[in-house]
Amino acid sequence: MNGVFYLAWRYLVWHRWKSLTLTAAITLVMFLPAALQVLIDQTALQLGARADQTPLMIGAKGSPLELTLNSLYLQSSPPASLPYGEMDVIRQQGLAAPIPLYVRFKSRNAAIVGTSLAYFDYRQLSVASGRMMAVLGEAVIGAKLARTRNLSVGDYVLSSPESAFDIAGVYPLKMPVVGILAPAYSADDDAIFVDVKTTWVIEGLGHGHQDLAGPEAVRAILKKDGDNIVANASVVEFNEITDANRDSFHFHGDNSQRPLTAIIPVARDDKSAVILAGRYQARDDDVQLISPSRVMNELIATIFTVRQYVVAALSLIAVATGLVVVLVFMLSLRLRQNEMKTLRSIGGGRWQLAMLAGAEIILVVAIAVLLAALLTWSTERWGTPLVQALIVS
Amino acid sequence: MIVRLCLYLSVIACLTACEGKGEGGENQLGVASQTPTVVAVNYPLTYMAEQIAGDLLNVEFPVNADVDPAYWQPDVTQVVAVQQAELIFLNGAAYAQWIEKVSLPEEKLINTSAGFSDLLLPLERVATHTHGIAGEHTHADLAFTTWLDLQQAKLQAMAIYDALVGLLPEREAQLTANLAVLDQDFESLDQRWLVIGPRLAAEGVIFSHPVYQYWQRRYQVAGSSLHWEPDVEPEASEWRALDQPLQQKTIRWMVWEAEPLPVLRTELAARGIESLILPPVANRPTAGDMMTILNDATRELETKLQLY
Repeated sequence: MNGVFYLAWRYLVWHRWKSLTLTAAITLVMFLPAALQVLIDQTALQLGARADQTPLMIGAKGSPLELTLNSLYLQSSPPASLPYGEMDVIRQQGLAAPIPLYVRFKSRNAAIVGTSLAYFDYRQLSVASGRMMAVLGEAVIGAKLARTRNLSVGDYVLSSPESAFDIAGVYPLKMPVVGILAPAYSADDDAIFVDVKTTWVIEGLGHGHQDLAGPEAVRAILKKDGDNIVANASVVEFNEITDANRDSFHFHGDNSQRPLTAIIPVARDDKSAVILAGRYQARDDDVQLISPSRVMNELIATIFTVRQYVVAALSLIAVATGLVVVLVFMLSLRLRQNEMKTLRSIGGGRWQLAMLAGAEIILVVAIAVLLAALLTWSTERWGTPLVQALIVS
Repeated sequence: MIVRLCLYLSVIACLTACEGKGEGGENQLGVASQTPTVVAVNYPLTYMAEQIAGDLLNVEFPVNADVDPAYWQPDVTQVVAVQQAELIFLNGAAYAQWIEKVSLPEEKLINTSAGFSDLLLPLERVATHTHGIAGEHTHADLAFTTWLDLQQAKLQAMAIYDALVGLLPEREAQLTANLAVLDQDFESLDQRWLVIGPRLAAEGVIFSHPVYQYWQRRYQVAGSSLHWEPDVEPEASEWRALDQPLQQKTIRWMVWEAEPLPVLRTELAARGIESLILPPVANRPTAGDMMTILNDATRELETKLQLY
């Protein structure tokens, strides 16, 4: 028996290119459906887990998927904004504690998440080094971002302009890193967290500048009309909030009209959640309440539908590949007729020759199965984050 | 065997003692962590919380005595300490603007004037400025000494009471009894001010600083406000600003936030104006408390107005 496998192995090694091609074809036919299954299952599990942690989400009317991806995975383009005053509307109903989210700005490719301290409790995020943000302009960053950018407490992150051509727009804000979060193995690991008021400063809704009534601002004053001071654009506006200039920072307009991209209502109990959902369904203004898990389930169902088509296509390819493999082996046997005659001449029986051909097939398929299993395991280990990043971006 | 047992018991006793010490340690506001701590942004709210809570809570007021709480700016350590509080009582009406510049747990913020936000008064004189794309804007626009209208103070006390009942539901009876006493104090003083107000207005009154808007509205004390400080001698232009209305109407009283300089009393007396003191008690007094200070000041007003 060993001799049969030895001869088969030597044959395969001698015809290594033919053997490699056959093995690769069979490996791919087995690996692709398995990998697809693994990727979809894991992506569904991860996407669903974060959505399940966030039963309700409130945002402006628009795409629920965009709202979910922006608010949960901190990745997609920002949805339409809703007014901060909606926080009071939720509070007054006494059914849920609202957590604000303003995920619009970035520092290079990292999302700047404007929120409140309640977000960290809600997501069970703890500070691994440094402390939680305390004053306007301070930032707390995710563990992965700190590692990839080599940032530590005391370093700075800079907000990126929304458009390279917005030369008359808002200055980038330089924010000190006061804390680094412990790894959460979620989208929070890649984000920069600031108070929601800091994101309004980034947007230009609040700013700090030199005292217009002071002597240092004389050259910037166009006119004084009673208590109204009109200054030109040369007024020095601060692009970093420090202890020295924090007092000069102020916000314009009505607080309740400042923008948010979403609100997470943390319902007091299941009954409160149902009542809240019902009240938002009855509203006919520009605000919507969504269930992120339902949105993600729809997305995952779409992915599953696509998977069925892909699996069907792969099955056809597998059948075709199987036929080609059979053909290759049959042609191979025909080409090896002289070799078979020689083996029979030196005493090889019909049964032994059949075993030899079978051993070759078994070896090729066994190697292909091993390779496919190894590739599937690698996909399970490293492929999911890559595909997830592709999906959410 | 007995020695080993004694050793084990000693170790357990030490660990228990250490654990107990940890629980009874001090939090960042410098108070025992076993008792819940609440924070207020000015002294009147601190006083109300103290009166309602009694010894059930630590009521912290982190502002130094020599600083006006309305314009206090905390450092990072103080903000981190305030973040640990169970509740943070805000005055509302844009008071304590440092709140806008710090990160505090929103679910712990209690705006005590939210119940009468539609009754808040705009400031008469507000500096506005225009630059850049933001257009014309102002930095503060509401009168904020809300507690000088004692009916409003009662509403603020009620907001504090509601929050404290939410925090200590099992102590509702005690909190309710304490609130009733405080309400009675406010009501009593309110009645006396309702008598004083119209009398002052009839004799002619001017205010040294624009902090009495709610007191004027509630107790019907019409009168303009200057921007004078009791410890600063006014410039000649400021004296002229006072003399102008004097030519048109009689002003017999000037209400100050604190005892004015002797020279101010003298100069005003020469113009036929007598100084009265009604402290807003925004910060913790060096002696007494909110009610003793206001009761003493009221007795002084009543004496001078010969209301006894």
